[in-house]
Amino acid sequence: MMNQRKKLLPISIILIVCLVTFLIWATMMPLKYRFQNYSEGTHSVGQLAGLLGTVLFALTFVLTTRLKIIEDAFSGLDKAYKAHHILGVISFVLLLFHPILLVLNFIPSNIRQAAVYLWPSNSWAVNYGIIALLSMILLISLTFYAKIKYRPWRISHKFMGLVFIIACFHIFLIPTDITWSPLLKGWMAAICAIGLGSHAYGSYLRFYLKKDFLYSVKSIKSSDNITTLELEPHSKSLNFMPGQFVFVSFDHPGLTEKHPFTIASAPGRTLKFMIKESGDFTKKIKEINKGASAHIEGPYGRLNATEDSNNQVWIAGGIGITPFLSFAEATSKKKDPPKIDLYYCVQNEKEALALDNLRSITKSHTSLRIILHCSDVHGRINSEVIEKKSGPLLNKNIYICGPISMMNSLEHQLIAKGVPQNKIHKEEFGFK
Amino acid sequence: MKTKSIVTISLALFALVVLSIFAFGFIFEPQRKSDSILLFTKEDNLTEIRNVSKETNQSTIVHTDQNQTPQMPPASTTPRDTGRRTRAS
Repeated sequence: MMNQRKKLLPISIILIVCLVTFLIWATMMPLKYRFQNYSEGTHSVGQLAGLLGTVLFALTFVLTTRLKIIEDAFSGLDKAYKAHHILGVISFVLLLFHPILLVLNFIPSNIRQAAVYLWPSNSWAVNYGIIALLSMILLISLTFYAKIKYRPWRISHKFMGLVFIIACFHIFLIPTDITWSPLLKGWMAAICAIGLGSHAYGSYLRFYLKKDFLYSVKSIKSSDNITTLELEPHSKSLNFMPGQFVFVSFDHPGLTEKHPFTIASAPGRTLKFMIKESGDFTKKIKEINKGASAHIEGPYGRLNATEDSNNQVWIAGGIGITPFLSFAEATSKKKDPPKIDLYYCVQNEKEALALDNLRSITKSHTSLRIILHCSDVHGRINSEVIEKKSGPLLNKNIYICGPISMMNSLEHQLIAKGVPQNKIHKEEFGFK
Repeated sequence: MKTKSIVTISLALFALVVLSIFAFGFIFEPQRKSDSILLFTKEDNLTEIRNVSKETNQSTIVHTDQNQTPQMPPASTTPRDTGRRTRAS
Protein backbone atom coordinates (compact mmCIF):
# COMPACT_ATOMS: atom_id res chain seq x y z
CA MET A 1 0.00 0.00 0.00
CA MET A 2 2.82 2.35 1.01
CA ASN A 3 4.68 1.38 -2.17
CA GLN A 4 1.60 2.15 -4.27
CA ARG A 5 1.25 5.58 -2.61
CA LYS A 6 4.92 6.31 -3.29
CA LYS A 7 4.41 5.43 -6.95
CA LEU A 8 1.50 7.87 -7.22
CA LEU A 9 3.41 10.77 -5.63
CA PRO A 10 5.30 12.02 -8.73
CA ILE A 11 2.18 11.69 -10.93
CA SER A 12 0.20 13.63 -8.29
CA ILE A 13 2.80 16.42 -8.24
CA ILE A 14 2.70 16.75 -12.05
CA LEU A 15 -1.12 16.80 -12.00
CA ILE A 16 -1.17 19.43 -9.22
CA VAL A 17 1.21 21.70 -11.19
CA CYS A 18 -1.09 21.41 -14.23
CA LEU A 19 -4.18 21.97 -12.09
CA VAL A 20 -2.71 25.13 -10.51
CA THR A 21 -1.95 26.46 -14.01
CA PHE A 22 -5.52 25.74 -15.08
CA LEU A 23 -7.03 27.32 -11.97
CA ILE A 24 -4.99 30.54 -12.32
CA TRP A 25 -6.05 30.77 -15.96
CA ALA A 26 -9.68 29.87 -15.21
CA THR A 27 -10.07 32.41 -12.41
CA MET A 28 -8.83 35.29 -14.60
CA MET A 29 -12.17 35.40 -16.40
CA PRO A 30 -15.39 33.45 -15.73
CA LEU A 31 -15.39 30.24 -17.73
CA LYS A 32 -18.86 31.02 -19.13
CA TYR A 33 -17.25 33.92 -21.04
CA ARG A 34 -14.28 31.83 -22.12
CA PHE A 35 -16.61 29.22 -23.59
CA GLN A 36 -19.58 31.44 -24.54
CA ASN A 37 -19.47 30.46 -28.22
CA TYR A 38 -17.52 28.37 -30.74
CA SER A 39 -15.03 31.16 -31.46
CA GLU A 40 -14.19 31.90 -27.82
CA GLY A 41 -14.27 28.21 -26.92
CA THR A 42 -11.70 27.08 -29.48
CA HIS A 43 -9.54 30.09 -28.66
CA SER A 44 -9.64 29.24 -24.94
CA VAL A 45 -8.84 25.55 -25.50
CA GLY A 46 -5.95 26.66 -27.74
CA GLN A 47 -4.62 28.94 -25.01
CA LEU A 48 -4.91 26.21 -22.42
CA ALA A 49 -3.11 23.73 -24.68
CA GLY A 50 -0.25 26.24 -25.01
CA LEU A 51 -0.03 26.85 -21.26
CA LEU A 52 -0.21 23.19 -20.21
CA GLY A 53 2.12 22.13 -23.04
CA THR A 54 4.70 24.64 -21.79
CA VAL A 55 4.33 23.49 -18.17
CA LEU A 56 4.88 19.84 -19.17
CA PHE A 57 7.75 20.83 -21.46
CA ALA A 58 9.45 22.49 -18.46
CA LEU A 59 8.85 19.43 -16.28
CA THR A 60 10.51 17.13 -18.84
CA PHE A 61 13.78 18.95 -18.12
CA VAL A 62 13.37 18.44 -14.36
CA LEU A 63 13.15 14.67 -14.92
CA THR A 64 16.53 14.51 -16.67
CA THR A 65 18.55 16.20 -13.91
CA ARG A 66 19.40 12.76 -12.43
CA LEU A 67 18.96 14.27 -8.97
CA LYS A 68 18.54 11.79 -6.12
CA ILE A 69 15.20 13.31 -5.14
CA ILE A 70 13.87 12.67 -8.68
CA GLU A 71 15.16 9.09 -8.71
CA ASP A 72 13.66 8.41 -5.27
CA ALA A 73 10.31 9.89 -6.29
CA PHE A 74 10.10 7.73 -9.41
CA SER A 75 11.63 4.61 -7.79
CA GLY A 76 14.48 4.49 -10.29
CA LEU A 77 16.18 6.62 -12.89
CA ASP A 78 14.88 4.40 -15.70
CA LYS A 79 11.31 5.20 -14.60
CA ALA A 80 12.11 8.94 -14.38
CA TYR A 81 13.37 8.81 -17.99
CA LYS A 82 10.25 6.88 -19.02
CA ALA A 83 8.11 9.62 -17.42
CA HIS A 84 10.25 12.21 -19.25
CA HIS A 85 9.48 10.44 -22.52
CA ILE A 86 5.72 10.28 -21.85
CA LEU A 87 5.50 13.90 -20.61
CA GLY A 88 7.51 15.03 -23.63
CA VAL A 89 5.02 13.39 -25.98
CA ILE A 90 1.98 14.86 -24.18
CA SER A 91 3.63 18.29 -24.18
CA PHE A 92 4.45 17.98 -27.89
CA VAL A 93 0.88 17.02 -28.83
CA LEU A 94 -0.56 19.94 -26.80
CA LEU A 95 1.87 22.45 -28.34
CA LEU A 96 1.25 21.03 -31.82
CA PHE A 97 -2.47 21.66 -31.55
CA HIS A 98 -2.10 25.02 -29.77
CA PRO A 99 -1.94 27.12 -33.01
CA ILE A 100 -4.51 24.95 -34.80
CA LEU A 101 -7.05 25.43 -32.04
CA LEU A 102 -6.40 29.19 -32.08
CA VAL A 103 -7.21 29.50 -35.80
CA LEU A 104 -10.25 27.23 -35.70
CA ASN A 105 -12.46 30.25 -35.02
CA PHE A 106 -11.61 31.59 -38.49
CA ILE A 107 -12.79 28.38 -40.13
CA PRO A 108 -14.82 28.09 -42.31
CA SER A 109 -15.78 31.78 -42.58
CA ASN A 110 -12.32 33.19 -43.26
CA ILE A 111 -9.74 30.54 -44.13
CA ARG A 112 -7.39 33.13 -45.59
CA GLN A 113 -7.25 34.83 -42.19
CA ALA A 114 -6.38 31.48 -40.61
CA ALA A 115 -3.57 30.97 -43.15
CA VAL A 116 -2.20 34.47 -42.53
CA TYR A 117 -2.34 33.76 -38.78
CA LEU A 118 -0.15 30.66 -39.13
CA TRP A 119 2.32 32.24 -41.56
CA PRO A 120 5.39 34.17 -40.29
CA SER A 121 4.82 37.92 -40.18
CA ASN A 122 6.58 41.04 -38.92
CA SER A 123 5.48 40.17 -35.38
CA TRP A 124 8.48 38.46 -33.77
CA ALA A 125 6.41 37.45 -30.74
CA VAL A 126 4.44 35.17 -33.09
CA ASN A 127 7.46 34.17 -35.14
CA TYR A 128 9.24 32.89 -32.00
CA GLY A 129 6.30 30.54 -31.47
CA ILE A 130 6.45 29.32 -35.07
CA ILE A 131 10.24 28.79 -34.89
CA ALA A 132 9.96 26.95 -31.55
CA LEU A 133 7.21 24.65 -32.81
CA LEU A 134 8.95 23.82 -36.10
CA SER A 135 12.24 23.14 -34.25
CA MET A 136 10.40 20.92 -31.80
CA ILE A 137 8.81 18.98 -34.67
CA LEU A 138 12.29 18.48 -36.19
CA LEU A 139 13.89 17.30 -32.93
CA ILE A 140 10.99 15.00 -32.01
CA SER A 141 11.08 13.53 -35.54
CA LEU A 142 14.81 12.82 -35.08
CA THR A 143 14.00 10.96 -31.86
CA PHE A 144 11.18 8.86 -33.26
CA TYR A 145 11.98 8.34 -36.94
CA ALA A 146 15.67 8.97 -37.73
CA LYS A 147 17.96 6.03 -37.21
CA ILE A 148 20.86 8.12 -35.99
CA LYS A 149 23.56 7.01 -33.58
CA TYR A 150 23.26 7.70 -29.86
CA ARG A 151 25.85 10.52 -29.68
CA PRO A 152 24.46 12.70 -32.53
CA TRP A 153 20.95 12.07 -31.23
CA ARG A 154 21.96 13.12 -27.71
CA ILE A 155 23.57 16.31 -29.03
CA SER A 156 20.46 17.05 -31.12
CA HIS A 157 18.20 16.44 -28.11
CA LYS A 158 20.13 19.02 -26.07
CA PHE A 159 18.80 21.63 -28.52
CA MET A 160 15.41 21.16 -26.83
CA GLY A 161 16.76 23.66 -24.30
CA LEU A 162 17.16 26.26 -27.06
CA VAL A 163 13.65 25.44 -28.33
CA PHE A 164 12.34 26.05 -24.82
CA ILE A 165 14.14 29.42 -24.60
CA ILE A 166 12.58 30.51 -27.93
CA ALA A 167 9.18 29.30 -26.70
CA CYS A 168 9.67 31.44 -23.55
CA PHE A 169 10.23 34.53 -25.76
CA HIS A 170 6.94 33.72 -27.51
CA ILE A 171 5.08 33.24 -24.22
CA PHE A 172 6.23 36.44 -22.55
CA LEU A 173 6.30 38.77 -25.58
CA ILE A 174 2.93 37.99 -27.11
CA PRO A 175 -0.05 39.96 -25.75
CA THR A 176 -2.13 37.27 -24.07
CA ASP A 177 -3.53 36.22 -20.68
CA ILE A 178 0.01 36.05 -19.30
CA THR A 179 0.44 39.75 -20.10
CA TRP A 180 -2.77 40.70 -18.33
CA SER A 181 -2.51 38.55 -15.22
CA PRO A 182 0.49 39.17 -12.92
CA LEU A 183 -0.32 35.92 -11.10
CA LEU A 184 -0.27 33.82 -14.29
CA LYS A 185 2.84 35.68 -15.46
CA GLY A 186 4.61 35.00 -12.15
CA TRP A 187 3.56 31.33 -12.13
CA MET A 188 4.65 30.75 -15.72
CA ALA A 189 7.90 32.65 -15.11
CA ALA A 190 8.63 30.34 -12.16
CA ILE A 191 7.80 27.22 -14.22
CA CYS A 192 9.98 28.42 -17.11
CA ALA A 193 12.84 29.28 -14.72
CA ILE A 194 12.64 25.79 -13.20
CA GLY A 195 12.64 24.26 -16.68
CA LEU A 196 15.60 26.32 -17.88
CA GLY A 197 17.52 25.80 -14.63
CA SER A 198 16.95 22.04 -14.84
CA HIS A 199 18.10 21.95 -18.45
CA ALA A 200 21.22 23.97 -17.63
CA TYR A 201 22.01 21.68 -14.68
CA GLY A 202 21.17 18.39 -16.43
CA SER A 203 22.97 19.17 -19.67
CA TYR A 204 25.95 21.28 -18.59
CA LEU A 205 26.41 22.20 -14.90
CA ARG A 206 26.08 18.64 -13.56
CA PHE A 207 29.39 17.69 -15.17
CA TYR A 208 31.17 20.41 -13.20
CA LEU A 209 29.24 20.24 -9.95
CA LYS A 210 29.06 16.47 -9.48
CA LYS A 211 32.38 14.73 -8.98
CA ASP A 212 32.97 11.44 -10.79
CA PHE A 213 34.59 8.40 -9.21
CA LEU A 214 37.92 7.66 -10.88
CA TYR A 215 38.70 4.05 -11.72
CA SER A 216 41.18 2.29 -13.98
CA VAL A 217 40.80 -0.83 -16.09
CA LYS A 218 42.13 -3.82 -14.12
CA SER A 219 41.27 -6.47 -16.68
CA ILE A 220 39.48 -6.69 -20.02
CA LYS A 221 38.27 -9.79 -21.84
CA SER A 222 36.35 -9.97 -25.11
CA SER A 223 34.50 -12.93 -26.56
CA ASP A 224 32.03 -12.85 -29.42
CA ASN A 225 30.12 -9.60 -28.96
CA ILE A 226 30.50 -9.32 -25.19
CA THR A 227 33.30 -7.48 -23.39
CA THR A 228 33.91 -8.13 -19.70
CA LEU A 229 35.62 -5.31 -17.84
CA GLU A 230 36.89 -5.11 -14.29
CA LEU A 231 37.67 -1.68 -12.86
CA GLU A 232 39.55 -0.77 -9.70
CA PRO A 233 39.35 2.60 -7.93
CA HIS A 234 42.13 5.18 -7.98
CA SER A 235 41.29 6.14 -4.41
CA LYS A 236 37.71 6.34 -3.15
CA SER A 237 35.47 3.49 -4.30
CA LEU A 238 31.81 3.68 -5.23
CA ASN A 239 29.24 2.70 -2.63
CA PHE A 240 26.44 0.85 -4.42
CA MET A 241 23.69 -1.73 -4.00
CA PRO A 242 23.44 -4.96 -6.03
CA GLY A 243 21.83 -4.45 -9.43
CA GLN A 244 22.50 -0.71 -9.67
CA PHE A 245 23.93 0.91 -12.77
CA VAL A 246 26.39 3.73 -13.42
CA PHE A 247 27.26 6.05 -16.29
CA VAL A 248 30.77 5.29 -17.51
CA SER A 249 33.22 7.05 -19.82
CA PHE A 250 36.87 6.27 -20.57
CA ASP A 251 39.95 8.28 -21.37
CA HIS A 252 40.03 6.77 -24.84
CA PRO A 253 39.15 8.33 -28.22
CA GLY A 254 35.45 7.82 -28.98
CA LEU A 255 34.62 6.73 -25.45
CA THR A 256 34.58 10.06 -23.64
CA GLU A 257 30.80 10.39 -23.46
CA LYS A 258 29.10 8.62 -20.55
CA HIS A 259 26.91 5.57 -21.20
CA PRO A 260 24.83 3.58 -18.69
CA PHE A 261 25.97 0.08 -17.70
CA THR A 262 24.78 -2.24 -14.93
CA ILE A 263 27.37 -3.36 -12.40
CA ALA A 264 27.60 -7.14 -12.72
CA SER A 265 29.37 -7.73 -9.41
CA ALA A 266 28.34 -7.59 -5.77
CA PRO A 267 29.23 -4.45 -3.79
CA GLY A 268 32.95 -4.35 -3.21
CA ARG A 269 36.11 -2.51 -4.13
CA THR A 270 36.15 -3.46 -7.80
CA LEU A 271 33.40 -3.03 -10.40
CA LYS A 272 32.65 -5.64 -13.05
CA PHE A 273 30.72 -4.98 -16.25
CA MET A 274 29.50 -7.25 -19.05
CA ILE A 275 28.95 -5.08 -22.09
CA LYS A 276 27.23 -6.25 -25.27
CA GLU A 277 28.11 -4.64 -28.61
CA SER A 278 25.12 -2.63 -29.68
CA GLY A 279 26.55 0.61 -31.06
CA ASP A 280 29.73 2.54 -31.77
CA PHE A 281 30.57 3.07 -28.11
CA THR A 282 30.11 -0.55 -27.06
CA LYS A 283 32.00 -1.80 -30.12
CA LYS A 284 34.96 0.40 -29.27
CA ILE A 285 35.18 -0.71 -25.65
CA LYS A 286 37.24 -3.77 -26.51
CA GLU A 287 39.98 -1.42 -27.79
CA ILE A 288 40.60 -0.05 -24.28
CA ASN A 289 43.98 -0.86 -22.79
CA LYS A 290 44.57 -2.21 -19.32
CA GLY A 291 45.22 0.71 -16.97
CA ALA A 292 43.07 3.21 -18.90
CA SER A 293 41.15 5.65 -16.69
CA ALA A 294 37.37 5.38 -16.32
CA HIS A 295 35.00 8.05 -15.00
CA ILE A 296 32.03 6.71 -13.06
CA GLU A 297 28.86 8.67 -12.33
CA GLY A 298 26.26 7.13 -10.07
CA PRO A 299 25.09 4.76 -8.76
CA TYR A 300 21.52 4.78 -10.05
CA GLY A 301 18.64 2.28 -10.15
CA ARG A 302 16.28 0.84 -7.57
CA LEU A 303 15.96 -2.78 -8.74
CA ASN A 304 17.22 -4.74 -5.75
CA ALA A 305 16.22 -8.33 -5.15
CA THR A 306 18.66 -8.92 -2.31
CA GLU A 307 16.55 -7.18 0.35
CA ASP A 308 13.64 -9.49 -0.44
CA SER A 309 13.29 -12.53 1.85
CA ASN A 310 10.43 -14.17 -0.11
CA ASN A 311 10.93 -16.88 -2.70
CA GLN A 312 11.75 -15.31 -6.02
CA VAL A 313 11.81 -15.84 -9.75
CA TRP A 314 14.43 -13.98 -11.74
CA ILE A 315 14.06 -13.73 -15.52
CA ALA A 316 17.01 -12.44 -17.55
CA GLY A 317 16.93 -11.85 -21.29
CA GLY A 318 20.40 -11.86 -22.92
CA ILE A 319 22.63 -9.16 -21.49
CA GLY A 320 19.85 -8.42 -18.97
CA ILE A 321 21.64 -11.07 -16.87
CA THR A 322 24.03 -8.43 -15.48
CA PRO A 323 21.96 -7.23 -12.46
CA PHE A 324 21.23 -10.89 -11.59
CA LEU A 325 24.96 -11.66 -11.52
CA SER A 326 25.26 -8.96 -8.90
CA PHE A 327 22.19 -10.23 -7.00
CA ALA A 328 23.42 -13.83 -7.13
CA GLU A 329 26.86 -12.93 -5.80
CA ALA A 330 25.34 -10.74 -3.07
CA THR A 331 22.70 -13.27 -1.93
CA SER A 332 25.29 -16.07 -1.88
CA LYS A 333 26.89 -14.26 1.06
CA LYS A 334 23.63 -14.27 3.03
CA LYS A 335 23.14 -16.73 5.91
CA ASP A 336 19.66 -17.86 4.92
CA PRO A 337 19.02 -16.85 1.31
CA PRO A 338 15.51 -17.30 -0.17
CA LYS A 339 14.74 -19.93 -2.81
CA ILE A 340 15.45 -18.42 -6.23
CA ASP A 341 14.83 -19.71 -9.75
CA LEU A 342 16.87 -17.81 -12.34
CA TYR A 343 15.69 -18.16 -15.94
CA TYR A 344 18.57 -17.23 -18.22
CA CYS A 345 16.95 -16.66 -21.62
CA VAL A 346 19.22 -16.69 -24.68
CA GLN A 347 18.93 -17.75 -28.29
CA ASN A 348 21.37 -20.65 -27.88
CA GLU A 349 23.82 -21.93 -25.24
CA LYS A 350 26.74 -20.26 -27.01
CA GLU A 351 25.21 -16.87 -26.15
CA ALA A 352 24.99 -17.69 -22.44
CA LEU A 353 28.36 -16.14 -21.62
CA ALA A 354 27.58 -15.65 -17.94
CA LEU A 355 26.63 -19.30 -17.43
CA ASP A 356 30.04 -20.46 -16.11
CA ASN A 357 30.12 -17.54 -13.71
CA LEU A 358 26.60 -18.36 -12.46
CA ARG A 359 27.39 -22.07 -12.08
CA SER A 360 30.41 -21.22 -9.95
CA ILE A 361 28.18 -19.03 -7.73
CA THR A 362 25.67 -21.90 -7.26
CA LYS A 363 28.42 -24.00 -5.68
CA SER A 364 28.15 -21.84 -2.58
CA HIS A 365 24.57 -20.67 -3.18
CA THR A 366 22.52 -23.84 -3.04
CA SER A 367 19.13 -22.12 -2.98
CA LEU A 368 19.80 -20.59 -6.42
CA ARG A 369 18.63 -22.71 -9.35
CA ILE A 370 19.77 -21.79 -12.86
CA ILE A 371 17.37 -22.63 -15.69
CA LEU A 372 18.86 -22.04 -19.11
CA HIS A 373 16.13 -21.28 -21.65
CA CYS A 374 17.31 -21.37 -25.27
CA SER A 375 14.71 -19.90 -27.62
CA ASP A 376 16.15 -21.91 -30.57
CA VAL A 377 15.12 -25.10 -28.77
CA HIS A 378 12.19 -24.17 -26.49
CA GLY A 379 10.77 -21.08 -28.19
CA ARG A 380 10.23 -17.81 -26.35
CA ILE A 381 9.85 -17.96 -22.59
CA ASN A 382 6.33 -17.53 -21.27
CA SER A 383 4.44 -17.62 -17.99
CA GLU A 384 3.29 -21.24 -18.60
CA VAL A 385 6.88 -22.47 -18.77
CA ILE A 386 7.80 -20.53 -15.64
CA GLU A 387 4.79 -21.79 -13.68
CA LYS A 388 5.43 -25.37 -14.76
CA LYS A 389 9.03 -25.27 -13.54
CA SER A 390 8.74 -22.98 -10.51
CA GLY A 391 5.25 -23.82 -9.26
CA PRO A 392 2.54 -21.30 -8.31
CA LEU A 393 3.73 -17.75 -8.91
CA LEU A 394 1.19 -15.78 -6.88
CA ASN A 395 3.29 -15.53 -3.71
CA LYS A 396 6.63 -15.04 -5.42
CA ASN A 397 8.37 -11.80 -6.25
CA ILE A 398 9.32 -11.74 -9.91
CA TYR A 399 12.26 -9.73 -11.20
CA ILE A 400 12.67 -9.21 -14.95
CA CYS A 401 15.49 -7.56 -16.90
CA GLY A 402 15.94 -7.82 -20.66
CA PRO A 403 14.62 -6.42 -23.93
CA ILE A 404 11.60 -4.14 -23.39
CA SER A 405 9.31 -6.25 -25.61
CA MET A 406 10.15 -9.37 -23.60
CA MET A 407 9.58 -7.61 -20.27
CA ASN A 408 6.24 -6.13 -21.36
CA SER A 409 5.03 -9.43 -22.80
CA LEU A 410 5.93 -11.38 -19.64
CA GLU A 411 4.40 -8.71 -17.40
CA HIS A 412 1.07 -8.95 -19.27
CA GLN A 413 1.12 -12.76 -19.10
CA LEU A 414 1.91 -12.77 -15.38
CA ILE A 415 -0.81 -10.23 -14.58
CA ALA A 416 -3.25 -12.34 -16.61
CA LYS A 417 -2.30 -15.28 -14.35
CA GLY A 418 -3.25 -13.24 -11.31
CA VAL A 419 0.21 -12.13 -10.17
CA PRO A 420 -0.23 -8.72 -8.50
CA GLN A 421 1.54 -5.90 -10.35
CA ASN A 422 3.45 -4.90 -7.20
CA LYS A 423 5.14 -8.33 -7.21
CA ILE A 424 6.57 -7.79 -10.69
CA HIS A 425 9.78 -5.75 -10.70
CA LYS A 426 11.54 -4.71 -13.90
CA GLU A 427 14.13 -2.27 -15.10
CA GLU A 428 14.29 -0.66 -18.53
CA PHE A 429 17.33 0.60 -20.29
CA GLY A 430 15.70 2.68 -23.03
CA PHE A 431 17.29 6.07 -22.39
CA LYS A 432 16.65 7.30 -25.93
CA MET B 1 -1.18 3.00 -27.67
CA LYS B 2 2.53 3.46 -28.14
CA THR B 3 3.99 6.95 -27.90
CA LYS B 4 5.36 6.67 -31.45
CA SER B 5 1.85 6.03 -32.81
CA ILE B 6 0.51 9.04 -30.89
CA VAL B 7 3.28 11.26 -32.28
CA THR B 8 2.75 9.94 -35.82
CA ILE B 9 -1.03 10.46 -35.75
CA SER B 10 -0.65 13.95 -34.23
CA LEU B 11 1.97 15.00 -36.78
CA ALA B 12 -0.12 13.66 -39.68
CA LEU B 13 -3.20 15.50 -38.41
CA PHE B 14 -1.22 18.69 -37.85
CA ALA B 15 0.29 18.53 -41.35
CA LEU B 16 -3.10 17.81 -42.90
CA VAL B 17 -4.84 20.71 -41.15
CA VAL B 18 -2.03 23.25 -41.68
CA LEU B 19 -1.51 22.34 -45.34
CA SER B 20 -5.26 22.46 -45.94
CA ILE B 21 -5.47 25.91 -44.33
CA PHE B 22 -2.57 27.18 -46.47
CA ALA B 23 -4.00 25.59 -49.61
CA PHE B 24 -7.51 26.94 -49.13
CA GLY B 25 -6.36 30.22 -47.61
CA PHE B 26 -3.62 31.21 -50.03
CA ILE B 27 -4.42 29.34 -53.24
CA PHE B 28 -8.10 28.53 -53.59
CA GLU B 29 -9.76 31.40 -51.72
CA PRO B 30 -9.86 34.52 -53.92
CA GLN B 31 -7.52 37.32 -52.84
CA ARG B 32 -9.46 39.79 -50.76
CA LYS B 33 -9.28 43.47 -51.39
CA SER B 34 -6.70 43.94 -48.69
CA ASP B 35 -4.89 41.79 -46.17
CA SER B 36 -6.36 43.67 -43.30
CA ILE B 37 -8.52 43.28 -40.25
CA LEU B 38 -11.24 45.73 -39.40
CA LEU B 39 -10.77 47.00 -35.89
CA PHE B 40 -13.16 49.07 -33.84
CA THR B 41 -12.36 51.56 -31.17
CA LYS B 42 -14.86 53.49 -29.18
CA GLU B 43 -13.39 56.38 -27.29
CA ASP B 44 -15.70 59.01 -25.78
CA ASN B 45 -17.95 60.24 -28.52
CA LEU B 46 -15.66 59.21 -31.34
CA THR B 47 -16.66 56.20 -33.37
CA GLU B 48 -14.47 55.12 -36.20
CA ILE B 49 -13.52 52.14 -38.29
CA ARG B 50 -9.83 51.54 -38.83
CA ASN B 51 -8.25 49.44 -41.50
CA VAL B 52 -5.06 47.91 -40.11
CA SER B 53 -2.54 46.45 -42.54
CA LYS B 54 -1.14 43.13 -41.38
CA GLU B 55 2.14 43.76 -43.13
CA THR B 56 2.91 47.23 -41.82
CA ASN B 57 0.68 47.26 -38.73
CA GLN B 58 -0.30 50.80 -39.78
CA SER B 59 -3.91 51.79 -39.29
CA THR B 60 -5.92 54.14 -41.44
CA ILE B 61 -9.31 55.56 -40.54
CA VAL B 62 -11.82 54.39 -43.13
CA HIS B 63 -15.01 55.60 -41.48
CA THR B 64 -15.79 58.17 -38.81
CA ASP B 65 -19.24 58.98 -37.59
CA GLN B 66 -19.81 60.63 -34.24
CA ASN B 67 -23.54 59.92 -34.17
CA GLN B 68 -23.81 56.52 -35.76
CA THR B 69 -22.42 53.30 -34.32
CA PRO B 70 -20.67 51.33 -37.08
CA GLN B 71 -22.01 47.95 -38.06
CA MET B 72 -20.12 45.12 -36.40
CA PRO B 73 -17.91 43.02 -38.65
CA PRO B 74 -18.37 39.23 -39.02
CA ALA B 75 -17.68 37.07 -35.95
CA SER B 76 -14.27 36.00 -37.23
CA THR B 77 -12.97 39.55 -37.01
CA THR B 78 -14.94 40.68 -33.99
CA PRO B 79 -12.61 42.12 -31.42
CA ARG B 80 -12.41 40.33 -28.10
CA ASP B 81 -13.21 42.06 -24.86
CA THR B 82 -10.34 44.51 -25.27
CA GLY B 83 -11.80 45.79 -28.49
CA ARG B 84 -8.83 44.56 -30.43
CA ARG B 85 -8.26 41.24 -32.10
CA THR B 86 -4.62 40.30 -31.96
CA ARG B 87 -2.74 37.19 -32.96
CA ALA B 88 -2.32 36.54 -29.29
CA SER B 89 -2.11 32.94 -28.28
